[in-house]
Amino acid sequence: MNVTVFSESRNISKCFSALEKSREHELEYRPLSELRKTVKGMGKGSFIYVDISGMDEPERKKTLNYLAKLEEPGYGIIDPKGAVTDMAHLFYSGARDYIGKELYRSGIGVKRFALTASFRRDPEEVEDAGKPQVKRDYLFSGSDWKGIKSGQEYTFIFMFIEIDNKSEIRKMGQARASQVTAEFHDYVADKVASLNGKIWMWMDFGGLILFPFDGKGCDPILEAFKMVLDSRIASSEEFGLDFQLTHRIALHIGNTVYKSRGNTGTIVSDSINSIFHLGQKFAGKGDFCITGEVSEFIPRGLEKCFADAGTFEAREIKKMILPV
Amino acid sequence: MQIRSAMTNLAIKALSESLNVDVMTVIAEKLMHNYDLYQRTGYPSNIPIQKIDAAKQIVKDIKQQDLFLDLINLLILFHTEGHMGRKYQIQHLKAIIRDVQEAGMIYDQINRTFVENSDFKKTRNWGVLREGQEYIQAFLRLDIVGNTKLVKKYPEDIIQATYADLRDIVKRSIDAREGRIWNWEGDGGLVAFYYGNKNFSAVTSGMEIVHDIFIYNQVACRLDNPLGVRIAVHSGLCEYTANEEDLKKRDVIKKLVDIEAKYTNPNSLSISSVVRNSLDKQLSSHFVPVNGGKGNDIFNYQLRWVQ
Repeated sequence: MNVTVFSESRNISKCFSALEKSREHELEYRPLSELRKTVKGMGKGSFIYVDISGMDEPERKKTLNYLAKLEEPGYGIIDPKGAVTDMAHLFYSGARDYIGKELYRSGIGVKRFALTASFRRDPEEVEDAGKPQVKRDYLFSGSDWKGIKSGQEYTFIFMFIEIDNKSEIRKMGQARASQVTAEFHDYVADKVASLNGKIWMWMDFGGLILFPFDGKGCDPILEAFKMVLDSRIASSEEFGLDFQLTHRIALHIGNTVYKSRGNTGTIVSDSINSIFHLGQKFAGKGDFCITGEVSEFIPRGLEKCFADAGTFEAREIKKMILPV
Repeated sequence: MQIRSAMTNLAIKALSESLNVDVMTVIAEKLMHNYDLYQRTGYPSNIPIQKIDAAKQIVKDIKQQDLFLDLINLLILFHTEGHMGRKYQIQHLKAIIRDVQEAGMIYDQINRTFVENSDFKKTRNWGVLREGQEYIQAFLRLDIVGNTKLVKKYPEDIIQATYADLRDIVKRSIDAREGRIWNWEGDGGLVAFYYGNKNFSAVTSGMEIVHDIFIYNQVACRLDNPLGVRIAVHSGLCEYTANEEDLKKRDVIKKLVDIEAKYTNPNSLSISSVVRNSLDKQLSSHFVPVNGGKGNDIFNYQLRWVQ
């Protein structure tokens, strides 16, 4: 195998002396400045090591991000100063080897490198490399409700939805107001049903819907987008109103213990708090807000229909650009 | 719709047990021009016709002329609203309606007529429109902008797939509102609405199609540029025909084509003032006069964004 080591260190060859002696591998040493140019022509028969010891933090981050995007060649990180604090993350990002302080001193043996060379990321992971990377503390609930058990913690897509025109509806009298809010409940239930969404909590004018999440996509984005556009139709068609009923929607992906509807009173969840705060405190009339966890999954082409809306409770928020 | 003998017998009982011969004759004359009950039953003109004989003859003739549902519609009207200021309690009406519904029809409260239940059957004429008869209908027309150029520019599979996508969008929207595609030529088509509040259904279908095409163009369109579609809605009295060439000659269709071709921008919906005037305030508020309202009575809807 062709092994290229990118480093500014004069003593770097000591670490690879055993490999050089074995003559099983072709070793080459290059300065870090040639990393991108050299890597371009490399394929599966090559392997690179990158020495990050001389880099400051921004440069190190930039280099690691660049390497994470490489499918080939395989790469290892040389880190004699122990600058990397989360080694596991390196491997999640595609690294196949990590040479820390001790290993740097002792050098890499032939057997070890054989293991390194044969170590590959899961093919599915490689296939999914271009897709949004999901956070590793997700506890995927799946694509439907079959495996979801009460009392267990899962990652869900949360949708908060609430009618804006509360006072106008209250003015219509209790009977008519109850009818409109009941119709709104059924309308929402109908819209989310095809995506396996379930209304989980409901107050008079809105509530919280849960969608199972398998990490592969976030279909409620498109459904909510359409609901915003269609609200001017639904106001007349579904609710028989002579004014436009608008609603605010917030989407978030996060964890919660699952309990059936009506038995959720004792659940303590940061995600539930966040989605309610986002929907009730941040979102304005007619808004459709999504957290950073959701925005990774905006369907390609629809990104330009969302604008950055700053941060709220330490989460980056995007808002749909609304039609007038 | 197939009229089973049990349903026929119920109708005969309903007439004979609820109405006298004079009122039965009024109903028969409403449905059958120049109807002469004495001549049909063979009774001498100086002898009163028995109620049961009158009922049997009227129902028989109505069935022969394929007017059975019209008879039931009239009976419902006599029962609910009366005739000439007087209400009539029509016996067995609930059972008749149940039988008609079991035969695949539903009652359209707004138009006071039975139409086919699309859960069971979906035909071009809703199971009730008859060739040569006039009905008030709403129509929606769609046309793909620059069809000829698109066909020249893109391979056939791309064009076919794109046009199939459009048809799916249209079908999803109109099916939910009991619209029927009367004509589809690949690059667009004509949709008719008869059931319920037809103008409202045609307009909301058109608005939803505008929304769906917007989303389609962002996330799924196979073309280099957004797919452009012009949509128009107009309504009026139209003589029913299954012949597409004859249909094009109808005034309401000619005006519809005119609205679509002359007053509609790509990916927008234009409607006539007749249609707009029938909409509620909320829905009509989303339409603006075309050309500022000068020289025409057309109103347009499109998605507009904050700049």
